[in-house]
Amino acid sequence: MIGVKRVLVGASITSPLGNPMLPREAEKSLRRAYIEKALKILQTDVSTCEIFHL
Amino acid sequence: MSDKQWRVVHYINQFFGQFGGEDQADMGFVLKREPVGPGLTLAKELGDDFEIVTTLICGDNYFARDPEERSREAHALLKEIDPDLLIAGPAFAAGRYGVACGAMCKRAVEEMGIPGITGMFEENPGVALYCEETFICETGDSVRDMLPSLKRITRLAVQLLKGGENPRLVCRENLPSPQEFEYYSRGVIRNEYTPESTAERAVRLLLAKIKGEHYVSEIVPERMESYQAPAPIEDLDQCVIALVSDGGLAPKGNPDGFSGRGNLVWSTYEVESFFPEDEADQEYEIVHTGYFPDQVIEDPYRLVPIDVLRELKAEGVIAGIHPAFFSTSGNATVAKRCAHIGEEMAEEMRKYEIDAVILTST
Repeated sequence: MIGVKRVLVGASITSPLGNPMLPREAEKSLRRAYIEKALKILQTDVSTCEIFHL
Repeated sequence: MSDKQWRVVHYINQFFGQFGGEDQADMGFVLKREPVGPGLTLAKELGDDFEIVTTLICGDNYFARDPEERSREAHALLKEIDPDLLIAGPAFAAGRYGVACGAMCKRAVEEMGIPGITGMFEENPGVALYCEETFICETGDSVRDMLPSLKRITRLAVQLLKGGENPRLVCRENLPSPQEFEYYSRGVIRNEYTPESTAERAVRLLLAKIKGEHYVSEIVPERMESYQAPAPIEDLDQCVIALVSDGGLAPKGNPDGFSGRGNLVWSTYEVESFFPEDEADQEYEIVHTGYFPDQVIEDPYRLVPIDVLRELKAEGVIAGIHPAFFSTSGNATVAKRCAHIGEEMAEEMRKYEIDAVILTST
């Protein structure tokens, strides 16, 4: 089987869950925001492939 | 002594070899030095330039029990004959016979370097198994199609052995078109000369498609199997999350031999030691030529968010993090292999209490 139902668009190709332009603590907060969103998506009912954004 | 140009071996089963029906399906190989049964008609169709120097007869059950081994056995019998072509069947809809014919042709191509041609009905399992390895002509579903099938096989045989370069192909290879020669596509793609420019041709096909008119595409994208989305997780605070990534993150030295491109393997790394909590100097490598790796090397959490997950676990938001991180490199790996890697990872995950997966990709 090929396919995915739940997609969260990351920050960038080279840094999906970060941003090297930010200071470290801010970057970690950003990463946390992404993961909290990911956990929300995992608790969301989907039928077709859904693409979410932060 | 033969003055014929092309020496042919014909493979047939116990029934067409005139030994008997199902009662003889267990018989082993028998070699005859002349055409037998449908081979007589085949010899007539092939004409003066070809000679069926050997007919190899075998029981369908005997062969089907282990096609790879049996075709090896057959090859040993045929080695000293040194044929130019192997023709098997045609098998029509007979499954065991079709598999035997396919295996015989594949062995001829691989071990003897000669063309193999057989004939089968489209639903014969031999078609799916062997159509990429050898030439399988289209046939009807029963022996009533014998003569037209033998004619198709002959036409292809003549083309392959006498045809010379194919001027339609840019590479000039002697590869007859499946449509023209009525055989199942071998999934081979070659560049062709066409009277129209590519732009004209593409626009013409697109217009036909838009208008709902008939058009033929040489490349038909595989239809993806639809499946049901996994149900959402409930009780997040009871959930164990596993992390996966295809960003090619590996210990320095790449001990599991990931490839930077077309990678086929995956591994797990123990979270505690691979991402030490005190962030002690751990040496990483990115084995992935599809993205600039420095940002992830500088801070692997940008790819694998262990730091955040540890926080969430400490706060009781999630129950736990699976102790193994699943790593692979996904850069120009064939989709089918990617799907297998996913299945293999899932099989490993099923051994543990894992409620959800976060997979990060670059």
